[in-house]
Amino acid sequence: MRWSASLARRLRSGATSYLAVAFGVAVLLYGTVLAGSRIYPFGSKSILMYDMGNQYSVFHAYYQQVLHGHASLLFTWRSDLGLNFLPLFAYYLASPFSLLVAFFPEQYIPEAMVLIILLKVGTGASAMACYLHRMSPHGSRRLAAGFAVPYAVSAWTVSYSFNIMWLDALYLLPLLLMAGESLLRRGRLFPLAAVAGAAALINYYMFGIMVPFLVCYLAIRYAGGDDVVRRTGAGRFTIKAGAALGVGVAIAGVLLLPTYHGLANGRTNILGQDPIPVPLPWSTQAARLFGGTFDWFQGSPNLAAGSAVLIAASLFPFLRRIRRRERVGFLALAALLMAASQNQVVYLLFHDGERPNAFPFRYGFMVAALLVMLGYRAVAELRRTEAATAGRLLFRVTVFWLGALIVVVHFERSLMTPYLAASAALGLVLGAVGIGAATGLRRVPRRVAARTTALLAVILVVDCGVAAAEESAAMKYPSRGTWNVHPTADWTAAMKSTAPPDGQFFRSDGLYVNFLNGLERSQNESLRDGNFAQNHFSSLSSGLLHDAEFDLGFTEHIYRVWAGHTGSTLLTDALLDFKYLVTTQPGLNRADTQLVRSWPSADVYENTATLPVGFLAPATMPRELNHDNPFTAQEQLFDMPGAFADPCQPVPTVTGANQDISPTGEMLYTKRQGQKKVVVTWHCHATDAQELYVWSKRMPWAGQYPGSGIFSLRLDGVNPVDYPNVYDNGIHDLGSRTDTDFTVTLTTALGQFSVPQRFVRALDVAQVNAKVAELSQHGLYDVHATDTSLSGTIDADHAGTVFLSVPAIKGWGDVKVDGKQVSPTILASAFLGIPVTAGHHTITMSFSPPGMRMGAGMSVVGLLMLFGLYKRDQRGRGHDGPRAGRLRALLERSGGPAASAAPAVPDSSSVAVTVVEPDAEPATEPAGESVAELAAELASKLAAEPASEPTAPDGTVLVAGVPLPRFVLPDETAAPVAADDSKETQA
Amino acid sequence: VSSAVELPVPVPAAPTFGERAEQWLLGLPGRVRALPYFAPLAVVAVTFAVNAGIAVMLWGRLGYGAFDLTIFDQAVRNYAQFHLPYVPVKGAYAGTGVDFLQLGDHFSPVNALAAPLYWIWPDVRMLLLLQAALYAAASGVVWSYAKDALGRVPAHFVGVAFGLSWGIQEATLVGYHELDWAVLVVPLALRRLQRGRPGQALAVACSLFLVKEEMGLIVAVFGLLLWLRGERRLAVIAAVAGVVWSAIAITVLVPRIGGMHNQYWSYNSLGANPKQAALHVVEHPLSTVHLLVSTSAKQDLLLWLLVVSAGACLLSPIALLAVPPLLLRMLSDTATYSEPKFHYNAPLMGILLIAGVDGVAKVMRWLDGMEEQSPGQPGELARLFLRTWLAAITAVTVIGLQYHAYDALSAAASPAQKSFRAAAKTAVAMIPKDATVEAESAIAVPLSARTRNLILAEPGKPHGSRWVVLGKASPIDWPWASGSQVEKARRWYLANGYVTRFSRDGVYVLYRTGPVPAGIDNVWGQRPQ
Repeated sequence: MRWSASLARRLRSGATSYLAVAFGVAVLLYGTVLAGSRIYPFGSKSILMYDMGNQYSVFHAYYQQVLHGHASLLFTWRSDLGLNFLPLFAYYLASPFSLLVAFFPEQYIPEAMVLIILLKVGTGASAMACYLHRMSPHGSRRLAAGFAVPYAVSAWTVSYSFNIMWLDALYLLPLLLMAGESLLRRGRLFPLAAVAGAAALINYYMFGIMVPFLVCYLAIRYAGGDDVVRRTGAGRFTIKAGAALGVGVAIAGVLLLPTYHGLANGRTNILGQDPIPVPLPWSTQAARLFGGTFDWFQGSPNLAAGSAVLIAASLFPFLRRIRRRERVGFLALAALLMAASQNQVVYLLFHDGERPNAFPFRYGFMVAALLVMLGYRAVAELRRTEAATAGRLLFRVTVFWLGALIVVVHFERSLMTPYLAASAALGLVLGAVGIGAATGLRRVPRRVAARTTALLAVILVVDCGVAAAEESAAMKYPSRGTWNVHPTADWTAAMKSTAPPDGQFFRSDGLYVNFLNGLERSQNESLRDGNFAQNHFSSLSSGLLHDAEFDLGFTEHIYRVWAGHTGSTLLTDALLDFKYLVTTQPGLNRADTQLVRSWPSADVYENTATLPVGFLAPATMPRELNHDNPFTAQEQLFDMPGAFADPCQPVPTVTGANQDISPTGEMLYTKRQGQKKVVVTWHCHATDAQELYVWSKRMPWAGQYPGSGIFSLRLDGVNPVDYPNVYDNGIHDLGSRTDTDFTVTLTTALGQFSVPQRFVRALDVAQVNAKVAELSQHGLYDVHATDTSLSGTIDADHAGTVFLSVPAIKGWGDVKVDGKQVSPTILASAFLGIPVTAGHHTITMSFSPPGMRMGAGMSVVGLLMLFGLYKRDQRGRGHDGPRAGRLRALLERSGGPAASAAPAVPDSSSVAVTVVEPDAEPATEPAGESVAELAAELASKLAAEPASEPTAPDGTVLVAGVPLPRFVLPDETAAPVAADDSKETQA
Repeated sequence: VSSAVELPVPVPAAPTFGERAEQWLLGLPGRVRALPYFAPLAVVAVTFAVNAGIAVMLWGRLGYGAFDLTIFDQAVRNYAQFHLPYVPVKGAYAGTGVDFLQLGDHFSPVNALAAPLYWIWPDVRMLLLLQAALYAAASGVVWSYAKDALGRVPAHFVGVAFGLSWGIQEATLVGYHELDWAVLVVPLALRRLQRGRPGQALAVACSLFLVKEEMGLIVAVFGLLLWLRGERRLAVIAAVAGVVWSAIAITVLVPRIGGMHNQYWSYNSLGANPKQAALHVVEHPLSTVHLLVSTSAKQDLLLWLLVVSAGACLLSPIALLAVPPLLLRMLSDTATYSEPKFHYNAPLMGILLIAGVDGVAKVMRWLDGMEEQSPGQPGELARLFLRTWLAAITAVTVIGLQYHAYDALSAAASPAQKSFRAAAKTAVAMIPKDATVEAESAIAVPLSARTRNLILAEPGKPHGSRWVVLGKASPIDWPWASGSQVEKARRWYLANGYVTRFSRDGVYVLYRTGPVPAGIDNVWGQRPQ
């Protein structure tokens, strides 16, 4: 293959070493920053921040098990009562770098993720360096690397690196731009389609965020790009670009369609819930352009790529060597990105049309990208601009940014600390000095020029490194121990011990309610531990299921994106087959349980009253749960009217408040003036053995942030618990009592609040056991579960519907009774119901992610189209031949007739020409066109130049102080070239 | 025949008085600019006006504390009366008695030079004006240095950047100190060196011996600069004299005069004494280096020192002059030494800016050499470099103004603070002349001129003064950390023979009617109170 030979040639020549340098420097820099922040093994911290601790790390641990063959990528019983995992894979794990977790033991998953982050950052730097060099071959390779590092280690990267799946965008964006350039310059569709497909597969979300940027970029380059851009008509170009992107999307169909179904299946609004945090004060936005600023509350976008880059990028609009339309276009693009924090529509444009839940301003990396893109091109062009003009421009831009810094310091004291202001000022000045030295020294030996260029690269890297260190220092990394201690030392071992053996089916979950952003317990821990659990947290949670869980009284997140086992009752534990319950406190006060395993800081209790995963449902089982009261919902579900009895006196005693009935029929309490707290006490009596519950769905702050520490609840005046709070806002289990009087006390300092009437409920244990025994008679037996299927046998004494405690998510299409396909129904709002006739039946069902087959078809079609595009590009190359675009542009700039009329010349007649640009590296460019003619034309022009043109010591011709490229005939190419970044062979 | 018509020749009308006045006024700026030394004088005037203005504003807000302004006031007041420089305020605090000599605190006889000012107006504010004047004079010297190195216009920027630099502002915010003399002396010595007078330069530098005991180390490093200029003999003299003098002053003079040994030893993380500290530095060089940047305040300080000259100071050996005082502070366990606050950084401003000027000049020469420019005619790149540097130091100055003087002066006073100030002024007026007083730090400063002696009241350590002035909402938070401490102290005084003479808005004037309560350290002894 030609390209592979070309690549091999470039690798041998060392022309690509700058990519390795960019990669290595970025990795080293960010690695040092993390080490400085005491991330393990350089300290006791970890990167398990926020959702990284709650979700991504656990998903990666699960992915490791998938890669080791211990779990399925399509479906898992371990979470959400049965979870379609493919959409989660598509969003969180599809990056090729995620495969690295296969090589790490589970206990080192956080370190694997650090490695993945570093590799993504390094690859981002490498890709950006490659793009920069291709865009401005006048510039030096080492400078391209110098500019690429601030992009890869930008404020966005540092602040959002824990959102590990977004970091793929760092390398995908430059790759997309390079592919776009290929379309612009050579009309090739294949690269753009292929990269778009890869990007959509790797992270469709970030791909969507990048598309508006890419479209703007293509439009700007097409309308205002230099002579190397082929202009074949705007309409035709638009169709080509659209087609390439369309093929890319089609290629990713195998993940996109299942993800679409997963999102549609979710309870969350597909367009997000959080308010759009715009407009921002301009001063805030300006402050965030300076390196090192950090917004702990993420209330402003992370835009900075160091401070020195600002100087370089600001030169771009004023460089007349670049076409005006392109300058205006990129200026407009910058303005558009800035407007994303000012205008809701633009904000949504750069967020896939969705309002992010937490961590807003996700487009920040594109601002950093634009800054380095413009900055690098500006510096490359500045050295070709007349010296006095360049100096004036550089000075004015520097003064502008110093003035901006003064203004920012005045208005944004909280963001711009004295240290940051000083480092920003120093960064600006050093950047200006570096740019001045790299572009202003025009009569110096090549070696000195190369060193000044390297100096600028070092300044850029150090500047962004200092900024990154400051940003990282402001972040609050959690302890490394959070990965291994959840929430006690023995918790994970206890949870793992409850994982069902191969083929068996039962569920287990923990009773520890404090999740605290995953610092104590991850809502997805069962994915890692292997037990079949209810806890789950992701934006792709099943909406139907979570609504049903909410109706049954389970604790729910305000957006219903996570639900836990917290809020269970004897009935729901029986219904959902929760055989084991794990606690951190000894002595579980719950009926129907017995201690089976014990560790110093965790115990496992067996629930003796469970139903199998399937059983013949009572005829009265509702298809839809009661939405108003979970006690009623459970009573209807089990056909046990009045099971949750009120064991208390009708009116509680109150101190410190007036008691009233609210318009909604609840008890309304208004604190009396001068009282510090309100105490409401229910006096109750338990007959026989009863499990006691309270529920307060409508009480203030139930299920909402912050919602902690507002109420204190006591049973018999002891063991106060914080209820309701954000992690415990459904039914609360007070424990069991047998034939005794007891009191329930609620204490708060709130001025006014309401409590449901019949706040306290008692469930008769004997009644529950009898019901469970009755339903178990027609339960599923010989149950066999695999990663994606379930089967069992049932003896039905009458025709009816088998209730399966399996969420009725899309994908359970293949349900068979005695080998015959049946259509499942939905029972209890969210669970599968399978109609059976009376008799002995074998039920089998298997899961296939919805949309996967059609998506796979789309992908196949996309790949075929991609192959077609490849062949088309190959044919196109044969017909017109690649142009000596840069050479042509050079000739046009020098006033010649250009090579417009140059006929296509077969490759065999090409003439090997070496372009040597002092202090810069000429780039390889195939010269299929009559390069010999062009070279001869240029040589004749140079010969016709006045003799007064100065000549550099090495013989380089200088025009207005600017070294012109030197063409070396084939015989000369054998001679080594001195400057390390000036070697190039053009064939 | 044509006859020539003689047209009347217009006679210019004599300008009216108004026109003459207008022309005079219009030409005034030009004539002023043409005055000899106009530019440096303008820089000097701006520096003086700004720093004196800050001082006056702060004085009106009771923004100065008795430590250290009252210490110097008492010393200079005694000098002015041809007495030894007793500083009762410090002596009582240190427990050495009211006869404590300021020279035993720090060996700085240079304070005696301020005595004549008290003959004119014996008020603490004279020290503040002296401080502003010293800074202004130093800015003139820095201007001269920059003019010869970079040119006239750049010198304006450098002069103003020095006069308004953050270190100078911070020093202004805490009032006069003996180090203010070093702010002037060091640039003067460097200027003499620049003019090719190494002998004079060394002589001027040696005057630092009278400023403070550790200043000898700067003189020693000054010897290094002399060495680099080929003045080997003077260099050795400076190095030896500087080290020997500091050693004598620190180990003999100050302890002998003050009667306190190791009172400023704050290097316990290195060792219990200089020998142990030196050994620690040799044995643990890495941890010693880490100590230099071990806190965020130290990092802040180093960065802000660097940006004063936009980093250009690193290109000149002159910056080495800043190393000894900086090392002494950064290695110290005392946190206040290593913050970008207080007066400690004022002498470094001149050093670093002059080093920056020197560094920039070097770079310009290098650039011109590279670009083959003729000497004395800076090329485009050199001019660009210079302009960028000037813009940077100007920006840093403005940013520094915002973080330091602006923040200190613009902090909106709450109604309670305003009431406190009014009440404090009333309280000050109540104290009879020459009375003995223990006063809250901020109120002690204006009392210093009127009361015969003044003692700072330290929580839990009353000194038996006749009068006590306490304040709850003082802008100075030392030594009183909180209002509850004030309240606790007030109750103690009331329970031990004091009565309230004045109480308003958190200011209390207490008066002792009887003898000094038993059990307390009556620093006044049998002196009349």
